[in-house]
Amino acid sequence: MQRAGSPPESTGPDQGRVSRRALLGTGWCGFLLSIVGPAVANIRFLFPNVVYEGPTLLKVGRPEDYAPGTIMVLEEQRLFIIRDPEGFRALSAICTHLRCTTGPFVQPNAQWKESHSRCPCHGSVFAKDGRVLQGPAPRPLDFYRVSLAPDGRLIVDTAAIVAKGDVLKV
Amino acid sequence: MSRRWLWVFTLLGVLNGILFLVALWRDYDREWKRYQTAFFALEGRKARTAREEEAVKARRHEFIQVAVAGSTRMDRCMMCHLGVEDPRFADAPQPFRTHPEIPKHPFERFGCTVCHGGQDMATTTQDAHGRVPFWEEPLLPAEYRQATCGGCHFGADLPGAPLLSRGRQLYAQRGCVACHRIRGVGGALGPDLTFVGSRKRDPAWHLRHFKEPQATSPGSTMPPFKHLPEEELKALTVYMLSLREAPQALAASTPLLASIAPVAAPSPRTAVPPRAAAKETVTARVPSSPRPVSSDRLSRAKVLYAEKSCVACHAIGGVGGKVGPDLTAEGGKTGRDLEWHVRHFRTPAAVVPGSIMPPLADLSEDDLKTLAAYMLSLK
Amino acid sequence: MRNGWTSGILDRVTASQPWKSVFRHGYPATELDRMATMFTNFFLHLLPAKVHPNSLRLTYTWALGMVTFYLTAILFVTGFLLMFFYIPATDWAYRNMKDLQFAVSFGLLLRNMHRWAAHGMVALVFLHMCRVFYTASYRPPREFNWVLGVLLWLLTLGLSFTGYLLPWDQLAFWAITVGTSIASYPPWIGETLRVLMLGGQQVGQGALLRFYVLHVAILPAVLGVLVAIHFWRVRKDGGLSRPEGASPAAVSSPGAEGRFVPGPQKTYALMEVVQGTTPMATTQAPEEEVPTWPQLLFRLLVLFQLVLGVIVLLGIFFDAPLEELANPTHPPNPAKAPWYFLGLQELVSYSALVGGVVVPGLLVLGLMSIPYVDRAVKGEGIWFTSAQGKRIALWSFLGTIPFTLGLLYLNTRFGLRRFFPDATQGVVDLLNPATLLLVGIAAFSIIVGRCTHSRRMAAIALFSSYVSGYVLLMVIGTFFRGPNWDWVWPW
Repeated sequence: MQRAGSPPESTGPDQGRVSRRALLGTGWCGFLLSIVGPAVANIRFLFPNVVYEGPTLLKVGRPEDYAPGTIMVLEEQRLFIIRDPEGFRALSAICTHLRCTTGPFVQPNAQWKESHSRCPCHGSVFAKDGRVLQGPAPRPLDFYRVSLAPDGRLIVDTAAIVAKGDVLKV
Repeated sequence: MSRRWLWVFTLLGVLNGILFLVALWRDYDREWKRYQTAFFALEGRKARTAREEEAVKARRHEFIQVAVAGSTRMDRCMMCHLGVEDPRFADAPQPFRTHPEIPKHPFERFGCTVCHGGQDMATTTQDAHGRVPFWEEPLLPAEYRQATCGGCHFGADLPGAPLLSRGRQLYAQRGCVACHRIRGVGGALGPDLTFVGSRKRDPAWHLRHFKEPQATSPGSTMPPFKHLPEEELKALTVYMLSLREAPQALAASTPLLASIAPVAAPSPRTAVPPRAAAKETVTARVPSSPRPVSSDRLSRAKVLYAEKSCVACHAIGGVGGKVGPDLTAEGGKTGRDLEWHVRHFRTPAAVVPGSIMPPLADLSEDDLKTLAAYMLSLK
Repeated sequence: MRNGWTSGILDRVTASQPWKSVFRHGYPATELDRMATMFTNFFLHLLPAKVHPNSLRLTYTWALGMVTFYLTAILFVTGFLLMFFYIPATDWAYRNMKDLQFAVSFGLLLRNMHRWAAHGMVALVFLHMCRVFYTASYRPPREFNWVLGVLLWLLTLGLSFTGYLLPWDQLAFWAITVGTSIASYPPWIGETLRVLMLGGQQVGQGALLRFYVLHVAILPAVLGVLVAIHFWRVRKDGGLSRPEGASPAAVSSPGAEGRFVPGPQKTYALMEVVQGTTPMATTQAPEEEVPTWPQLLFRLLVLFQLVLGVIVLLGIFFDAPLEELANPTHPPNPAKAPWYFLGLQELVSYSALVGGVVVPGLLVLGLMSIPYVDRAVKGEGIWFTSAQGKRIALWSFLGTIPFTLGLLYLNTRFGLRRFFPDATQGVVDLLNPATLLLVGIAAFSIIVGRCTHSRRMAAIALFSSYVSGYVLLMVIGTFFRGPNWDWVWPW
């Protein structure tokens, strides 16, 4: 196909010249890169690097603030800090059913022979190792990694889910 | 299509592809990532336990920010200043060095810029330190850092900020209140200083202004204060810088240490504590008077003259302010004897109607007479 | 690159029913197939199957319209993306801009691209208008499309103006303060207009929200509709304009004789049979035209690459400005409107009425009325119409410069208020550079029209002088006006 009025192309072999195929191929590759590339970049753009939902690394005081053998509830951070003879654990207080904050741990009673937490929304009941004792919750509560900051304070990393055996020995 | 068009198409395609790769690189290669990498390396060397080593290995480049409670500040300083809460980095070079703990001011609640200044949301060194155009709050130099304490703590005496407290004292003692108003208290001759720290954030400006007001503010009638020692001027500068709009709810949630008005009103009832002559340095230069006054009385008079900052408003021999009358030839004025001067010192407005001179009510009778005698000696 | 394995899969996919239900014909390899695809594809059917070579000539259109359209597309895409990170609240807007700069991947690049594309679009839509004027492409049947074009130009200015406020920095705040103040000058309705725009008495949260809604929803929707009609009209009016002599075998001008005369060798499909109506299809000798695919499409592709490349380049290496947070108590001195309104601001500094009401009003009305004033039939499709037109355009453009500068100088030295400080506003409105410029240019073009016995020449004189004055005043407002709107030398 030629532009109206343009001179006819040389009919001889294109010796020493880059072939149409190579040109077009390279051209299309470049074009696609400059379209697909930015499209992918735009998708990356949409994934936020910072969110304003609050930090995931939470400072929760010092080990001395927690008496041994207790389960403290931190409501604003939606966490339980469990201190037992083994050490510190951080248990999420976010119910695995539909993300309500499950209630504080209460002593064993007639119904449940161990301390348990009841979720007010749909009645799930959890044990202090996260197990689901009852209710619509599909899986146990998560444990978060607890570590000791260099300045001696406890840090809970709500972005790091660990097994229930994971404990910070203090 | 002709070859020419194919070449154009290809070239443009290649160029655009390259441009995309350039954009990709510029977005990926960030200054803060390099700092973080260096920090992780340092951290790795300091790891002692297996658990610590594992934690360091798991470290990835990340965005770190502190949402300062009660404000819209989002401090990202810790993206590079990673060691501020880690005592192991006390000897590390900046930006990794440990920051001393400030009791009752946890970093995760207060952030950094509230005290240090700078641009909270920036993630490059220049921008974060605020030394860029269009950012009005650059990092405060270390020697003036106590100024920011005063943004929230309005009390007269702040234990952790001695320079600020001194500045507040000096403001009262050097007579600034005669012409300037802070939070409704003071004279109206000069500009209101309640938020001067928000308007003039450069300490050098304040120092220049104290020493030579006309240089920074043409047309100003403020007398120069270059007779004050440098450390006093610095303290006053710290106080000036502290006068700024507090980070709203942050201040509201912190109990203020004292009442709102840090400055004594110029009324006879308030007491600006008189200071013993020995602690004062006499810096006002006054020409010697031809009328002999006993030398120790003269030096006492000069001490009082300086202490009460009379030079702020009155000029003698070309030195001093133009707010009040020139005193160079005060002794030659008719109708003014010792009594007159003493009465004038006590209640200026009663003796000279319309006078804005603050009364010198807290001086002893003897001191008033000394000053009066000095006035009479000026010829 | 295609070995047996992949080509087997590709063949299976492209032969499958789901595929064929979407892509009904294979890749068009013959000219007939390509023509058919131009008809049957939704996106392509906007374009004609064949196009006159004059429309492809770079030196005819300079592709200005298409570039403007591509910039619009870039603005839409970047704009949509930016919306994910922007909140139109006075507490957040500025911080969102900082976040885009520091915390969002490619945030700075996209913001810069959006800004430069916006400025580019304002400039290019203006240049496109100039091209259409100078090729007299507003002649029948294109008068309505010209009016549409003027409306699109105004919409572009509106979009740029509403977007200008959104960063909520000092630059934005005060530019809009000045701009909305200029908008309040028309008598009776001016103040109401201003309150409506601002949602209050001052620029604040109300203004920010309204400008945001206008910028992201209302104005783009209206723009979309008008652009669609604009393109539709281009097709229905017979494609881009072209000089008469370019196709001597042109058969008939649409609607003139009311008869449809088919050209030779052209394939026609029977659309409808109705009584008595004249089809609006244009006719050209088909042998003059060239197939859109690939001639036009390829050029459009290359043009897109060029425009995208330039915008990305600018976006990478030049940062859009962001000054301090908007502070209502600290007006900069001087406070300047956005650059495309600086000419107006300059005029307003002489007379609010003339600069703010009369000139813009006459400008818009004058532009829209051009096709109805210039009723000539000949000369369409030729830049400047003739050698005479070229001369008139050049001298009008050049001559306006010293005329304007002279008026400004005289005003500075012998301004009315200097000698008659109590002169009434009405007198000042009559004797000031803005009015004198207006009157001078109008008089000049009438004289030209009389001397050449041609309204077209008068129109060329008028338009060229107006463009020259507009650009010059904009340059003065940008570089030569300092604090208190005093004259400054920029070096």
